[in-house]
Amino acid sequence: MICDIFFASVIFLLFLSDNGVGNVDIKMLKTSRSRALDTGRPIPVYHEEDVQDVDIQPVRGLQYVVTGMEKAEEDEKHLQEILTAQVLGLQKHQEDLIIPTPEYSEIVDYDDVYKGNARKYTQYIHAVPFFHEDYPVYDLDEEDVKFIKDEINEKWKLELSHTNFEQMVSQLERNCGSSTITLNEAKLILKEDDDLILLVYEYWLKKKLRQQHNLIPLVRSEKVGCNADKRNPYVAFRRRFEKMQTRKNRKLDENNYVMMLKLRRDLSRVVTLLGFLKKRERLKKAGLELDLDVVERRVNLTDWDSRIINEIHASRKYKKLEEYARNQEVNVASEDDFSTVDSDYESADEGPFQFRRKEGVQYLAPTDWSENEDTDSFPSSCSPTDKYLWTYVPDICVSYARRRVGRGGRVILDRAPPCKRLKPGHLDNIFDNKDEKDVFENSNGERRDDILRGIVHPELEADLQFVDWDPYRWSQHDESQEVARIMAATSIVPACNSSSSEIRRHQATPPNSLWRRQRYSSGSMKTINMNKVGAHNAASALINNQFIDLFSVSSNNSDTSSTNSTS
Amino acid sequence: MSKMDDALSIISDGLSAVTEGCKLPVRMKNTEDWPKAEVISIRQIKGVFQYYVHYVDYNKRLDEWVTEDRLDTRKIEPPTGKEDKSHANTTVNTGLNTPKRAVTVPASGPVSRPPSPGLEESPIVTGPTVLQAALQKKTARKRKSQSSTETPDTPVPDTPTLDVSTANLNLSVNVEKKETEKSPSSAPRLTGSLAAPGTHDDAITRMKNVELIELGRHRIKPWYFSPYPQELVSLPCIYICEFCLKYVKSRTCLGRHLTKCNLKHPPGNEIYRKNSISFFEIDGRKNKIYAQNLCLLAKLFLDHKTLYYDTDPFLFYVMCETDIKGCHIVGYFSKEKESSEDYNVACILVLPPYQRKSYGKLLIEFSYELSKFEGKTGSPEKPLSDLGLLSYRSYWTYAILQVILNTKAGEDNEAPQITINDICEQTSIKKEDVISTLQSMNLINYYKGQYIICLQKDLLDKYQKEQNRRTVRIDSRSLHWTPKDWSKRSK
Repeated sequence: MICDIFFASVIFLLFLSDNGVGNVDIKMLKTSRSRALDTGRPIPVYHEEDVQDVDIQPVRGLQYVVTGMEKAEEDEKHLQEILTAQVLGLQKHQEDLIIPTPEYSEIVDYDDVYKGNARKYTQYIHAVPFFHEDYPVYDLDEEDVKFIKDEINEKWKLELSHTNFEQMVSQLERNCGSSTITLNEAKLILKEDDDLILLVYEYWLKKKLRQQHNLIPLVRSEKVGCNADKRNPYVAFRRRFEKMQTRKNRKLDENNYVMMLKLRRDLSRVVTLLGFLKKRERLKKAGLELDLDVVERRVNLTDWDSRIINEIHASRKYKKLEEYARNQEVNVASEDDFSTVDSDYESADEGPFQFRRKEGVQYLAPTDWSENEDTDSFPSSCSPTDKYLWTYVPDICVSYARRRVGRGGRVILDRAPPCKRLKPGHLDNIFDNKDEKDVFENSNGERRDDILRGIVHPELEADLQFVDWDPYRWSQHDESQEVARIMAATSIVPACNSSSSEIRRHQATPPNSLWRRQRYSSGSMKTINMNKVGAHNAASALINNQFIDLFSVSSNNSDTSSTNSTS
Repeated sequence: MSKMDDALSIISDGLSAVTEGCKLPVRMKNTEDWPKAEVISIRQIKGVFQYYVHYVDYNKRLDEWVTEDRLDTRKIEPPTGKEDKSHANTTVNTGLNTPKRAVTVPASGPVSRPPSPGLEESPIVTGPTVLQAALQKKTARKRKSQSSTETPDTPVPDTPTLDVSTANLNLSVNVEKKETEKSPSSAPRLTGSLAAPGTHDDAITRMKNVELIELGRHRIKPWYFSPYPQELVSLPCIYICEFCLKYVKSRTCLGRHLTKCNLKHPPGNEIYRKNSISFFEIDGRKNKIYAQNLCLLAKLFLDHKTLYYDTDPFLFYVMCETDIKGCHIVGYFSKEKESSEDYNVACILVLPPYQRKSYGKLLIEFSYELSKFEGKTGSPEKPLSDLGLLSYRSYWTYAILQVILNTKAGEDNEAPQITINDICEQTSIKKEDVISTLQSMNLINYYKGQYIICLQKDLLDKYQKEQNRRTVRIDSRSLHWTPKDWSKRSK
């Protein structure tokens, strides 16, 4: 019985259409009460002639037959005629009754249009992942054929195949967004001859302006944010922006999907890193093999006293230095660009360190020190803020640097570009020449050596025995200290008290003032190797990242540093 | 002389009373019938007026442009108030030259209409609406001839008693109201392929916009509106590549395209082949361009199909007839990858040249064959069209009859017995459809307190005939297909 009730509700659905009065589909049946139809109950099947009982009653309960059509269309005459005929069993008429439809015809020249036959597949056809439309989308019309023949071929005596023309127009069309591209842009896009581009471009532009629409007909798709497009019947295939309705158990799938995306991204990063590792190790191996090769050759040459190798080194050294100096030049130049107000500095892979200009902030170009700098009076005559001063911090001589106060009171030292970190007057003859590139190219090798070592004040040289104080080799000389290098002309020198995290300021010390070199045993200070990164970016990186722990110094160290700063 | 003039003016007035929205008898093409028809639009080509008419109680596919000689202007029913209003609204909302029209109302008002005395007189005249319409039509024509545009518009009929400014105000209020009404429901539902009733009621989508298409061997007159690019719609014919379904504007373009297009079959997997009939499965997400082209084509022949959203959630099963030239599209049906309502078909179409040749039944049979492979019952998405209803009813009847006739009689020569669930299981037809078919064919009866299925003789004769007629059937052994569970895939 419960079952019956259930199915009664199913059948109830069939009652819902009540608007079909007058339709043949409706059977208003006045019969005694009958049971609801049970779809699970076997129903006997009889042939008409076997049942002669007058007791046959049409079914109560199932009153209306749902057609599933739209109400307004159910009454259409042609349909009703057929339905009536079906029910009344007017068999003869039924064959003739059709719903008339608009006409069609066959074309006679089908074989001329569709030339060529298809290849015969014996197996079921399996689609190629996607048939790439590597052919031009634009199709030549009569006007274009005429243009190519009359203008290009005859008037200008140029060659242009139909396919190439289509390719050009397709590319021009594809690159047209809301605005039409210019001739110069067209020249960048197209790979043809300039004359040809000019001709085709002008023709294309004229045609486009005349027709007022794209030359490649496309179905309009919705422009984002365009409200009129919402109802425009000519806009089709809108993207389904709304999220598909997900059931509760699908929510989990969704989260999983997001996590999988993240995992995929992370893994792809790992792959990249491993790729770099592999490359590095390979280079290392190649280096070792070269070393081995050198040693073997020296053995063969019986170079026991290193005479030959030294000779080679001597001759090669300057070349290397020259190269290095040139690179330095380039680096400096780019740094300067970066600091100027309106440069478009962009670098692809700096991630969080990427320099981004803030709105409303004015960025000043770096002080052009090279012009006002009076090397003789240097450094006493100018204020320490805009001059590159001879600077040192507890353990490292920074050479010429400019001091700034950064975020949180940190002292930021901008190093002077390498070629400027020279002993005043030492290379006067070189500095006469303003063009720095020329300086390096024209001067002889020994001078260059000086230039590149000029990082330490000459008076210190003997005393300190910083014989070859090259910032790029520092860590090799003094491995007790962990020193990374700053390739750019910027270094960050934070010093802080470990207990209070207070950051002290170092006083820049002029080179000709009295000073003593104090070597502190354990000042763990780190400069960060970040090529092309602006100082403030570096500072924020220091704060935000794991570098922060490098700030901590032992307490006695802070004492000494404070004494130092006051000296 | 003056009498003659009067007579002429009456006749022309009769014609000019034909406005958008009015109803009058129109002679149907190729017949001598004069059914009542509604004028939907009026245009003027080379000085000749043409009227786009919809025959009341006939399918929209018979709507057509007619000239005056087929109009019976003696029995004009003016647009009813309510319809008129809604019509004006819809045209305001979707019409292309709406702003112009809104402007013309206040501009023309004071100029063409006599001042207050005339306004006061008009309500006194009996049967004023026709006259008013005629008057307005006249002024409209004057304006038209002045501006000599071919825009198929008529002025918005506003009541002359109203002050011009308020009329204008009214109009704008109406527009606003309509828009606010529509905005929340402006985006249709995301599932299904058919438009909700009432969405295709505006003047643009009610009218066929494509004159003719050439598809492969055939030139076909479209039945309904389809959003082909507007620059193509105005052409006398759109040429469609029969393999990739790309649309171009001329034979030359088609020829050029065919030299480049290397496709000779729909760009999907062939999942069925028997003799010359093949079925291809196309994923609407992977093969967007083809799927979109197919939908555009299908829209020309399917009234309720919607192309509002992309084709991603659908699979398309294209039926082809293969010969040496390639696989020619005969028809197709689309199917939602995941249907929340047990639909196994979204849209289904046999192209007109192949209609009335049992291809429709073959398509339907194939759709149920897929459902059998999936192990579930299914039903076509609603609303059905008239042709859809007839095809499905016919298919259901014979499929169910086949199952009933195949049931073995019980022992002791008892009548064979079958449950409705058995029928569903064997045919994959949804229960509701089985019941409605049994009913509409008068198969199910109530006899001595129980239901019986009673097979009439003439129905069995028809069944035999049909079986003989349908020589081509789907052979499940030729179907190479495994259903996919789309719910477990990222869409």
